[in-house]
Amino acid sequence: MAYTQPHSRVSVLSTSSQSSSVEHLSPAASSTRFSLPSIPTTPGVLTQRPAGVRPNIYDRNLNKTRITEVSGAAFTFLFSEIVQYTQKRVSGINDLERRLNTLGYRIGSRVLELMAWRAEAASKAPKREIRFLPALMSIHTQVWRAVFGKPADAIEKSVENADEYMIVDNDPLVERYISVPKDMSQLSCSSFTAGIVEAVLDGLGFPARVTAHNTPLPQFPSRTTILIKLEKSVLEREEIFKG
Amino acid sequence: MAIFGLWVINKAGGLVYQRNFADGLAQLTSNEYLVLAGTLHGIHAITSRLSPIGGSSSGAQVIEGETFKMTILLTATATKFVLLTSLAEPNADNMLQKVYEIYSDAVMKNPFHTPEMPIRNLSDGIFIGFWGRAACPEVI
Amino acid sequence: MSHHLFLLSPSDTPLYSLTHHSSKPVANVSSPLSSNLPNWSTSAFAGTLTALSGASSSAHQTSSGAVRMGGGQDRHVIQMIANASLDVIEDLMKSQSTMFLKSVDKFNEWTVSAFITPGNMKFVLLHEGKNDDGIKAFFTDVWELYVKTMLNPFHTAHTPIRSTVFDARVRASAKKYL
Repeated sequence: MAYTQPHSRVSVLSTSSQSSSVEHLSPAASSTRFSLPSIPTTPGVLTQRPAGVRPNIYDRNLNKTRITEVSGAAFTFLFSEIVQYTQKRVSGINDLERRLNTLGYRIGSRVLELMAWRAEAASKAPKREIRFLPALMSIHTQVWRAVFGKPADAIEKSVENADEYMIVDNDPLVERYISVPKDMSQLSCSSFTAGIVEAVLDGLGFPARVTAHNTPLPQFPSRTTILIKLEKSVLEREEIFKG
Repeated sequence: MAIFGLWVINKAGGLVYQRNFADGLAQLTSNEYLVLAGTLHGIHAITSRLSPIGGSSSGAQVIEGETFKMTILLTATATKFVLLTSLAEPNADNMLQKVYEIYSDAVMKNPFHTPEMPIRNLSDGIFIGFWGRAACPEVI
Repeated sequence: MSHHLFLLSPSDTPLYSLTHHSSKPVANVSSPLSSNLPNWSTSAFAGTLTALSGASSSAHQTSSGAVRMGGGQDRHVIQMIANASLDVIEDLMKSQSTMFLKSVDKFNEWTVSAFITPGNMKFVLLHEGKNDDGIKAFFTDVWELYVKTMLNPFHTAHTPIRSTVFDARVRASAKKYL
């Protein structure tokens, strides 16, 4: 419906402006004139911009979250297609994970800006996260909530390596309906999520390598760990803050 | 009351999924299952033309034996779900609806599944969901 | 009084720039360097040097109020000042969590204010005189417009912004607040 309307508007405008003399003779033109009364349902659209152009993003309100929620089924089908499409164009599991990561990265950089805008735009002095741990917390709760509708299940710090942190999701939304074949068992489609996390960290100034790993438990068979390996510069910076 | 097994037959009559849940029926070889499914597919196609009212009908929905019955659900995309249960099982229809739902989620949304091909690689989690939910009357 | 806005990508590539001449009155800012520098008219860089020293920058306001390009208003000088302020901005953004960094740098008559988005985009504004509230409101508008630009799937954090709508909206906001 929304897609067919602009075309009818195009025809109305083009017949009346280009061939106004023919308009009264041609039956086709007169039938388009009969469709005119239906147009006042969107009166502003006609006067503000050329017909056929849909309202652009700059005219929209960034805060309308309730009515623009995406259907879970639509998302899973899309993600399924993304994985299939990507799988046809890669040479191995690592390559596949890397590409999913790249796709997630593109989402993440947008999520970060949009999420921060929604949270901070109304505030008197909008703030960015400049410390690592609060940033990690906000990924665990805010980013997860913005993208998946629920916070992640845990944050862990590596015992062996000081530069490694983990975000654990017991039932990752992107993998809910995915069964990975046995011969690809080390593949984690949550690499997509890892890309989102990487983009958010990168944007906030904590460059890191983020990967996803299957860490199933008996009660959570699709449990996934997002492993964050921070770059040295981040740790050094945190040290300065402590001092 | 028992649920013996579940078959999924694709629109060409091929058995793409077969699993037994409970003892009670004799085991067949996989080849016998394939033949059985193919035959059922043919019978179902013919029974759907039996209706006296004209036009096509849903075809056979329940086939009963002495110790078991098979309930058949035909979807809009011509996939058939066949549930083998004991005669006393009252919930077979609901269960098939549930199975259809799980199938749409766990199979059709799985990027590693090819439509009309055998259903493999169901991960443990989904697998438990697949028959666990269908086999537990209390969730229905 | 003119304003120069630059949007810089996380890797400091300029993605968008705008020069805005506002009709609001100029606040007087002295340029201490200008008085003690000789006039090197023979040097090829004379224009740049005098401009950098701030000499004769006030002379460019013609009687009609229009601003003549040249001297302190030279495009490349403006860009140099904006670029030079990036070091200060980068130091500050590591220690300050506010997105709006007001008056981070000064150069002759120019004051530099900046706004850092969470995704590390830098909005740099060169302005004369003080107008913190107006600048903040302006940056907030630009931020919203930038977030919307970012939502375009064909845009990345490193794509120059060529949208005419974006340009028009930024100009409108500049007119309103600066």
